[in-house]
Amino acid sequence: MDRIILGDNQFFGVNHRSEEQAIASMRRFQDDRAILDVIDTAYDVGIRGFTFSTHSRMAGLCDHFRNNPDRYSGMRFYPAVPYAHKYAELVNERGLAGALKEAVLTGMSMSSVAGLVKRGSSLLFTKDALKAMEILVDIELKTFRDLDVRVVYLQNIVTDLLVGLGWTQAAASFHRFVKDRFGVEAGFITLNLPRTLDFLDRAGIENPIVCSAINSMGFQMSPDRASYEEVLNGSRPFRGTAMSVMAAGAISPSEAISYVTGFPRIESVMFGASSRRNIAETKALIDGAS
Amino acid sequence: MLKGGIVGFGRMGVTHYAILNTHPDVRINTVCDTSGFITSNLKRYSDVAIHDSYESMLEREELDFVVVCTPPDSHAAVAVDAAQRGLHVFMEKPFTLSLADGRRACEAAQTAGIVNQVGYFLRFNDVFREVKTLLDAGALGTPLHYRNEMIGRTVIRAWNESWRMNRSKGGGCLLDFGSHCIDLADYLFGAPASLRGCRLQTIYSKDVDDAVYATAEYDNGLVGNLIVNWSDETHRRPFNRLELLATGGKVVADRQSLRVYLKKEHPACGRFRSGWNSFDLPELARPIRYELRGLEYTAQLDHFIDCISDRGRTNECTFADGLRTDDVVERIRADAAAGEG
Repeated sequence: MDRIILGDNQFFGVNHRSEEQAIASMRRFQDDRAILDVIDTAYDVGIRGFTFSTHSRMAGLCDHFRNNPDRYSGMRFYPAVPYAHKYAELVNERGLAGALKEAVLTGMSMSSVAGLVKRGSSLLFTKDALKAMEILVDIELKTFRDLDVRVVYLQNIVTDLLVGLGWTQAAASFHRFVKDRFGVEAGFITLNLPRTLDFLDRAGIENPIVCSAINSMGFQMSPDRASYEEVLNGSRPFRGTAMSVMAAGAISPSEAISYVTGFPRIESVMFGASSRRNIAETKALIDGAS
Repeated sequence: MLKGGIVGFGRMGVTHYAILNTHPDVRINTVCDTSGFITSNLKRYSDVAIHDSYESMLEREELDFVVVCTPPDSHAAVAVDAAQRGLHVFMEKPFTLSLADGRRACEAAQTAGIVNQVGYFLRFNDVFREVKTLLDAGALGTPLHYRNEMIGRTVIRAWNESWRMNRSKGGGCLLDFGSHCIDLADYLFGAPASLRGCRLQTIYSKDVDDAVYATAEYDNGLVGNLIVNWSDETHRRPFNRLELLATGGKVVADRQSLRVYLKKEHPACGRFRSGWNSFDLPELARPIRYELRGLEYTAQLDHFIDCISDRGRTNECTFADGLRTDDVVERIRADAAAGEG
């Protein structure tokens, strides 16, 4: 796992603090070149780990990375699936059941085109949501083919839903599928770390890779900061990635990094920034604390 | 342990299921849905009893409460049936589709003495709660004007087969988005005396409205503008914003951030000083036991469960509150229709 991973929320209008800033960032990054400028900056200050959602715009960006292997030598990817907003729009248009059916049908037709499904076996898939999930993950990750993928993360909207539903077999099946298909570990993004660790334990996933908000304000840390510190200082093994370390800008970088690097279970820090100064400063702080 | 059932397993049904399933004092025993795809997967992956009609669920299962997440045209019937069986009811918004239905459901709830709540989750948002505290304490003086917006990209092309596009099922932007804004205004300012200049605009839809504009007038002189649109693709997800001018200051609030200008400090609102104050969700959010799709969803359901466990507690966002929003919806429709005629 990379010690430092650059996040991608800033590129796609995700901002947990201000809608105006979210829209401003959508304007700023509407051309791929603007995104690549930030990635180039991060690469040039020595960052090699990058996380991306499987946003439709990733196709062009990944082509660029593949076409310029020398420029991006040693670059490592931590994609997060699924691209939830695409499915949310499908649910808006068709309802939950209709959207799931459409996803299965799309998955089936795309996978038969790609030769993923043996002729005749696709009928088995029509009613099984877990199989559908595997096919869709497979399709989304095609964007990252031939790139150095290290971990495939499950987005918190799905992890936390599975945790709430208690559907351990779905988590186990995702974990197994990612390992079999891509030869890498699955990671789980969550806003409910202590509960998710219990859940992954029940799912039989040992020493899991998890990614969650870690900050001194307790922002996006359910049930509370004290429970997080208990598992962060506890004896149960897990490999942690910290996100939202600056609580959407409410905490200064130095305070944020000093808090998060105090926990040995946190192996990497994921952060989003757009300016050379912020990227370089945050990287220097993490390097200095390590 | 309280035993619950979920009626309607769409996006809100699955969300409420997950949130309640993590509550230490609750067990969700049963789910009802009409989709074979949903019920077959539930049978495969969960251990709840499955029903394809709410009547059979209510008849056969032993329950303390139900959470109703079906399209709005069936809300009143389920609420009345559940209330008559003495079950507490959490109802997704909007409450019902006619005032007669809504009154029937309110009466049934009152007669049965059940806990009853409607899913207007903005009342449980930590930013808007703070605005309410400022208003009730008198820190803002008398409200003069507000601008109450909800903008999103739920419908951004003509093709759509969701019930939200079907007027008789309770679809349309006024009921889906507009009801949230109307309830938020009701929570903060009470019921308006009149509604004028109302317009329902279609952009993509055939059977329902895609945008709503209205002016609300209040007995104390307050004037409010409602601006609602679910066909604006510049927002990544639905976005609520309230801007309020009052004799004592100004408020600009959304689900994540609060900007308050106070002419004078107020003893009951110690964290706010005179001049501009900026707070964001990280500073305002109360800790919550489990988060899925926003803290407010858990906060509203935990309130519902708390009210069942502790009958002395004041039930917030009740059927009666939902009925006042239904009433404003009807008045907006009536004014819009008169304007077209």
